[in-house]
Amino acid sequence: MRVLAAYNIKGGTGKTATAVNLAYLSAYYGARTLVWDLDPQGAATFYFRMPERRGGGKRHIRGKQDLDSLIRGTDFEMLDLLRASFAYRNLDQTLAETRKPLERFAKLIRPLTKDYDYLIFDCPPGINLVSESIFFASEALLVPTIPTTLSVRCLDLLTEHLERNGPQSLRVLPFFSMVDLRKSLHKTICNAAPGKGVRFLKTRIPYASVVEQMGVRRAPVSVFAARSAVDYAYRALWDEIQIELDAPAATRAGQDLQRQTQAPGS
Amino acid sequence: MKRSDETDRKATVGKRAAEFLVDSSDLLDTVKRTVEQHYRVVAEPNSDHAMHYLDTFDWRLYRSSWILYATHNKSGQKLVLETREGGMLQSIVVAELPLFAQDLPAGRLHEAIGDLIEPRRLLAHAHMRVGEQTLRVLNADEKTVVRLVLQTRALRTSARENTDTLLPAVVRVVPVKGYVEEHHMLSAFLENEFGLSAVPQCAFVSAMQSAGLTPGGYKSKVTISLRPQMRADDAVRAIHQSLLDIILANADGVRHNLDPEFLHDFRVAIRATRSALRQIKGVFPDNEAKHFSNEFKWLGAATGSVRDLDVFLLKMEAFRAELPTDMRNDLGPLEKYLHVHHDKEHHHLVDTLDSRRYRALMDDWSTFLGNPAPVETGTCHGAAQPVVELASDRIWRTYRRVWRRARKIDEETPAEALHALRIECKKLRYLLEFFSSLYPRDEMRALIQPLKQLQTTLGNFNDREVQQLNLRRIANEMYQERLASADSLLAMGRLMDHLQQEQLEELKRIHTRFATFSQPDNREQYRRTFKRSVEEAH
Ligand SMILES: Nc1ncnc2c1ncn2[C@@H]1O[C@H](COP(=O)(O)OP(=O)(O)OP(=O)(O)O)[C@@H](O)[C@H]1O
Ligand SMILES: [Mg+2]
Repeated sequence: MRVLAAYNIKGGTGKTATAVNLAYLSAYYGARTLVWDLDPQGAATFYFRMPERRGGGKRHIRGKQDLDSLIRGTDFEMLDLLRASFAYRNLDQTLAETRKPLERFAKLIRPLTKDYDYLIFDCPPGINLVSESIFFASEALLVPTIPTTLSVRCLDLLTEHLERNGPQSLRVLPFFSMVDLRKSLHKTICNAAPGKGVRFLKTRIPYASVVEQMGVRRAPVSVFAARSAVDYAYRALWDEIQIELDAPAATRAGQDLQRQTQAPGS
Repeated sequence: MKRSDETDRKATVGKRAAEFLVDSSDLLDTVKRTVEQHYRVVAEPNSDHAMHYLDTFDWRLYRSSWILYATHNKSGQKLVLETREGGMLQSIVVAELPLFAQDLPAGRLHEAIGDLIEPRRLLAHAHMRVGEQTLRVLNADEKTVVRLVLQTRALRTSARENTDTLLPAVVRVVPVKGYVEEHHMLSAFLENEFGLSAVPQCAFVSAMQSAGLTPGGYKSKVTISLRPQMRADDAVRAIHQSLLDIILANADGVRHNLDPEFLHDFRVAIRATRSALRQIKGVFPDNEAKHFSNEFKWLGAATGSVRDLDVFLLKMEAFRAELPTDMRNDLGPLEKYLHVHHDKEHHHLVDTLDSRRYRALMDDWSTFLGNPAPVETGTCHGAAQPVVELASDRIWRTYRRVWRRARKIDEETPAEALHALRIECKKLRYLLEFFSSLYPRDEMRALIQPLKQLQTTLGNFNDREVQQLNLRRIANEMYQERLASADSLLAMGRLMDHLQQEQLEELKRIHTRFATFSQPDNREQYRRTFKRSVEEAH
């Protein structure tokens, strides 16, 4: 099972859109895929037409309840969802009360390994104990980044943080999101390929109103806007991510924490 | 380790959809309309697709409870792996249908069945044309909670190639994870409203059966069951008939070189036939037995060179792995040589299968087996005795021969003696297998197991010997025909070393294998099972 997290310190950058649309494509191409909605707002849960879980929503985090019993099939074959709970607003606290909070998620998802080919976390914004624990459980972070100065700064914060504290095996895969090339700032930033020591993925997700319609249609864009520019963009992104994950270290995009952290010592 | 893999694998699989058979297409329409009246439903557009049921010739997947099929329609092609009793393991978009293990898409599917089918080819045992409509049953959020798949189907099997068998329509109630109640509700609705009952097994399998094909039907071993008091000649005829069936079943695959296992089974059945003709005396007229034995010897010999080349080609990958990385490419010329000669030898083999002699052998033998001539005179003195007497006598004598030879082996035993022992073991093994239905199953299994292990070791020892001889011969030919560079010859030289090493290791094993085989318990068991029957008979 490959574990990915749609993550950004900053809010509203397209994390949920990324998690939902890529998970759909993953299942569409035949991989058994699970989305875990970690955001108490439950946007991904809503997109998949399910209500949030209510009451007692955290026992499974402490390992007191089987995760599998919480999982539900979506409208799409091969694609399942672990729904958000409003109780996730205190997830940080819950985690702090467990014995080894950093390893918590890695441990929780271990039993799922045999059931799924991909697990994609939809993370809430911010950086806290929850995100640290997700870093430890994941193979890569998918970081949708709007081409603005502030967003790029957030990415720098993240990579600097991970260089010092991140698990060595974690990869950071940033890509541009909500790109509007009519805006000169977007154009400048996209072309400058910024970021300290991080290479952006080639695929960019354009700004498009069909993404906003996901809230009305309650479905991934590829379902109701097949062959739209965004549909194509997400397909290309998913292809690129898969190639990246399999690529040998030397040719990888994103940030190779392992090499950077080892270089000074050796 | 193996065990836990097995349970893990099964654990990944969800519940199978409930399946109902619907006899008429009118009823199918009624089911659809009624469901639409009672539930909130979205009907997906109709779609047509073709399904191909894939398995090896010897049904390896089916026997391990896997169901593999490919579906294709206008938008593309999918490969689906399911378990017979469970749900789906993987469904994956593919560009082309896989032929061999190496063509399977990497990942879960490959892990599950790659080794299992190696080195066999996947054949389409049946083709199904399916007209399908999915009804998604929704809850108040318009969320899909259960799917109803309505299918009309027509089937074509390898058993009846030119006719479609129209099959009853199928209604599948496909559960959505986490919505168990809805699944039960809809299944119960169909049962109550229309009196439909769930299909106990995969619809594809029952479909094949109704179209005259038996999944899991082919066996590469004699599996007939004999009655102890049967006339010996009838019983031996039945054994031969079952071997002839194996020979004929594999002939096409041999002819078209579908995969190396066809030839392997073909050869084994020929060898077993000859062995039976020579071992089991006194049931057929001597001159006829001798004639057929000769003819089968000829046929067996005609298959030898292709098999030798098959064995090398199958080992190429392992050979390469034995060499240091920088020498691996040096085996290229050898592989090419093997392929070229394989083509040539296979041509000869096809000529043999097309020959009058081959056809005459098959016809005559088949006629001979089909026309019992109950002459009890002359050389057929044993024809009318109960088969169990004949069997026990033959097995007991052969066992003693094996035992006498095996007792003498030690570190100094020359290869020829081991070779002779191997041949005797083989005879014993054939006899045990031919007649196993006459004796208690557990006893037979307990007897065959240690023999099988001893045989494997002796067989491996001998194979390595033969392979070294062949490799030397090939190297000489390649050298004379200037097909091999010095590098290639050096690489082949290393393979010789490697084979010799393996051979020595097998030799070390022979003694422990023999020790198990010759345990007093085991000897006593042979005596009890066969000798007593022999004595009782006299
Ligand atoms: N490519 C896009 N084009 C236009 N609108 C988009 C695009 N991607 C996302 N949006 C819209 O932007 C908003 C935020 O997107 P989304 O919810 O995916 O971001 P997020 O990072 O998950 O937000 P949060 O931090 O609140 O979880 C949503 O209204 C969404 O419809
Ligand atoms: Mg979100």
